[in-house]
Amino acid sequence: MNQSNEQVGVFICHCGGNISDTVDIKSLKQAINTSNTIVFDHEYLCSNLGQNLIKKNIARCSLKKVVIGACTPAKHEKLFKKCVDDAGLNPAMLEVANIREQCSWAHSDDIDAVTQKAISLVRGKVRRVQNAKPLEPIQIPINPSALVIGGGIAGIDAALNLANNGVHTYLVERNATIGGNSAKIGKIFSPEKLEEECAMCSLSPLMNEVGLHPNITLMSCSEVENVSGSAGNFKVRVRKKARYVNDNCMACGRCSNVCPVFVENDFNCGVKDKKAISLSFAQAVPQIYSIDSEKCINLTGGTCSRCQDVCKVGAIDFDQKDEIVELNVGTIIAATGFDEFDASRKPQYGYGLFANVVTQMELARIFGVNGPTEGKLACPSNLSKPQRIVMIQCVGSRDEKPTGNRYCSRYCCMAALKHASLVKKKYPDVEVTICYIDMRAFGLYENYYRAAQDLGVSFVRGRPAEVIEKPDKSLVVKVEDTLTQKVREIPADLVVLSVAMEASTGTRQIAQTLNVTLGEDGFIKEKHSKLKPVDTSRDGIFVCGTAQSPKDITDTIAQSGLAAARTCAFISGGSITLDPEIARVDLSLCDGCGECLKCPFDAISMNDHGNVAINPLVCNGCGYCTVLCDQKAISIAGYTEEQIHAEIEGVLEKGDLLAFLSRNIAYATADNIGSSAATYPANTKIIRVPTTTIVTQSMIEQAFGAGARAVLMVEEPTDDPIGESVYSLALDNFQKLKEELGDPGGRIHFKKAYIPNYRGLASTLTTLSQEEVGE
Amino acid sequence: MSEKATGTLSGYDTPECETLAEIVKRSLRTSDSIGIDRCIQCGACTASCPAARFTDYNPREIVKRVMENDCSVIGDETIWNCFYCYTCHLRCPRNNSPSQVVQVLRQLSINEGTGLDKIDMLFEYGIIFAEIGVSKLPPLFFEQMETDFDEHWLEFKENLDEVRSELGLGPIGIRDNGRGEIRAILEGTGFFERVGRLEQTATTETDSKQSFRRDGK
Repeated sequence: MNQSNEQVGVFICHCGGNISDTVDIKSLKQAINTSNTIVFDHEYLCSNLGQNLIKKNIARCSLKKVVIGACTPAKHEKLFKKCVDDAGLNPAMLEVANIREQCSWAHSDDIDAVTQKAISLVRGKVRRVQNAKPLEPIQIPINPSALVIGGGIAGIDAALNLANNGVHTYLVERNATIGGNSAKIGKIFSPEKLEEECAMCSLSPLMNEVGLHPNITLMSCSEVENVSGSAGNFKVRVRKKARYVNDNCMACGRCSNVCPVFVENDFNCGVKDKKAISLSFAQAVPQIYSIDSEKCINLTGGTCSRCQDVCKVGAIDFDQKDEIVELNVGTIIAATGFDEFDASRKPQYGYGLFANVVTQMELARIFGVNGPTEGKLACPSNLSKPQRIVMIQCVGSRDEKPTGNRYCSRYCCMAALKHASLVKKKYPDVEVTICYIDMRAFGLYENYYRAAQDLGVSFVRGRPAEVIEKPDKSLVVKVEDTLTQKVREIPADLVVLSVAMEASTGTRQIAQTLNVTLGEDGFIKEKHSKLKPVDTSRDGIFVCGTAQSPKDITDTIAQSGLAAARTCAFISGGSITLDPEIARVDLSLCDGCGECLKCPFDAISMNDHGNVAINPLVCNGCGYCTVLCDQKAISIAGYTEEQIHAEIEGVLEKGDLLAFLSRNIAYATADNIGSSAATYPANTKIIRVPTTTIVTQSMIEQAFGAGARAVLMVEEPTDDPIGESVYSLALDNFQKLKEELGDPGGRIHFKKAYIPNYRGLASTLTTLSQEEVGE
Repeated sequence: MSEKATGTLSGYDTPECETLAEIVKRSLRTSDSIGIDRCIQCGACTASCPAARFTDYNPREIVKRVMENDCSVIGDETIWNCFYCYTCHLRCPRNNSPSQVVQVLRQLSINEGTGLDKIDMLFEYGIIFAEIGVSKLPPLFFEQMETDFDEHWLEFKENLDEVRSELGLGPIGIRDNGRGEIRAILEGTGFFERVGRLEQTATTETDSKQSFRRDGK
């Protein structure tokens, strides 16, 4: 073994008795104390006092390397690495021997046996650290541009905030225009004024700003198809769908005038008042027409070119094709919004069956001057003015039935009050009744609720049972007024359903593409509901607006601003530091055979000079490439063959079971045995490896040469992101090793880890460590 | 009124519990996930209820009294007005089921003796079932059926076997060995003792018209 003679400082933690009650610290110190080690101990090394002891002695004794005997490295390794870093050592010059979870807590043997194990674990780490080389942290610059997915009010606001802070931002919108649901609702309620404000008057200038901003690249008719890479460096594939009208379009409208085909207008909730070539609405951004390819006569195989004939700028292009665009961005904000609950899922209210049952969004369109009735309040059945309007709250919200949603949709009480107020102000003679379970006019909105009461809106506390249509198309709402305990049948000309906000299909799709977690209600889950409300389960990806939960515009804007601020903060970090314990290639040994390109994560490639190159953003250091390389040109930093051989030499004693455990799930499962007070014999020695694919024939031969009873490899399960690709490769490696070694007496074993089943691992370790050694 | 429900409310399919709501939740008659604790008194049940439309029965209020552990609800005459259409069950947004709650209340009422006069006319169904192995309308109700469905009803009933044979269908009853099996099941499950006990109690209760029995009170 190639060992240096540098001084190694060994620090043993008592852990307030957790270690010192079952390990004889004095014997441990004596056994470890040799010519090139100095040994210290402390009650709690993780405390400030403990860390000061380490720092002080690094300086005083000119220590070059440090071994800590304490709890599992999963717990405090980072802390101790920072500690030695502060003291001027490279963090790779530190090793942690796990003498708590995998020693003092895990064995019921006598104190001598447990102490003996602690000695061997510490000795193994001393040998290992003597073979360690300094590792420089890998710094990768963060791509300073951002992607915002979804061009509703949340995405618009986030994009403008980013752009105004100097961040180049791509805004990708699936539809032909930005604006989203906010563009449809006409008037908005506001907490401090009792007036309803014009939504488009606030929104339109923002939309125009997006269209003109030098820092924003707006991509409408576009969908994100694939996202790869990681925080700081995402690669995004966007499909720009054909709109059959090019950028020459001046939005003059001649084409639409001559188009003979009427289609359903999404903007007006499906009313057939739009042409197959059209602008979504007058204020659309970008101001470019688009053709509905499923309805256009020309695009469905017929003969018609009227639009092309009248266009003076040659903007109509029936041959336009979808385009794939690759974007490189550092961070992503998901602002993919909500869908309205489909009220026909509650057939008792007659939506879709009775013409005069509409949703609040449809009523908003009826009120819109650019809507189907040009702002005139009218019943859909005969366009007459309704005299009696009944609104039904919580349709699809606060409903545990499979067709509903359990949550409160948060906006609907206010939307109903807003529309009730609008009706009462414009048509004081119209009776408006709101059937509610609880009115939730939270915070300052209470003023607005009171103002609606002053206008003469009636309130009935009860969830209506059903809506019945009479032959004259008027309606009856059956409800119990629970406050007077009377069942009422309220006549109505128009019934308005306040339907739930649901996570949009776009939100569900993008969560899958981005690989971020959804909550049980289908919205993108934030990392912490109070402290990290716009962070998702993945670093560098943020969420805002109704993609995260139901909310009104005020709350959406608050959140989109925060998402932009978090994005700016992330980008202004400049670079991210990656784990240095990944694959490194020694080009002086590499013969360019290309075997390592079989990397299951595609982290290895040949660069322009024909040299093997490793992408540090993708490599997770699994180690599979090390067994592929005959020249031993690739190794995992911090897990070189020399280091592992040195650790085996240090820990192993005659009759031991040697276990190689993969560093995440498998190693944590072994820790769980100790922290759950289950046990296995102390002659089990565990060595942490990136994955068991790096275990070689010579490691096993070394183990048996030193008298090991058996060798076990425990691999990450297939539902782990690394195990998913590596498990089968690890199994192959195990089988190959068994063949090569002829497996003397069935002494090489393999097992899949599973965190909850720590007892299973404990019993395997117990069985194997007591097995008779066949000669 | 909130009395401890233990003791008085024990008996057939009414496990001994501290509260009425607990009895409802643990009864065999209710779904495991019944949302009685989650009721928000929205009234969707009452507004949907045909019995509430024509009588004073109010399922929302019944559930409220159960939640408040108001034991007087067991003696409330209106709980006998529900006829199990299950519309409340279908529409309740909290997955509560007033129609199931009422079934438990009726059982409690029967256990206390107060509900027996509501069911004594139904004993006949059980006795006929035990005899012929199928459920059949007791003669007691023939007159009412004629009023409801006109005189053709009786004619149809009397000639049922003939009508069935004209349609190529066999007789509606169960063959003798089948009847024996059904009888054995009823005997094995204690059906006859139970009916006998109920009939006996019904007679004594009618004599001493107590509205409520409260052990140890």
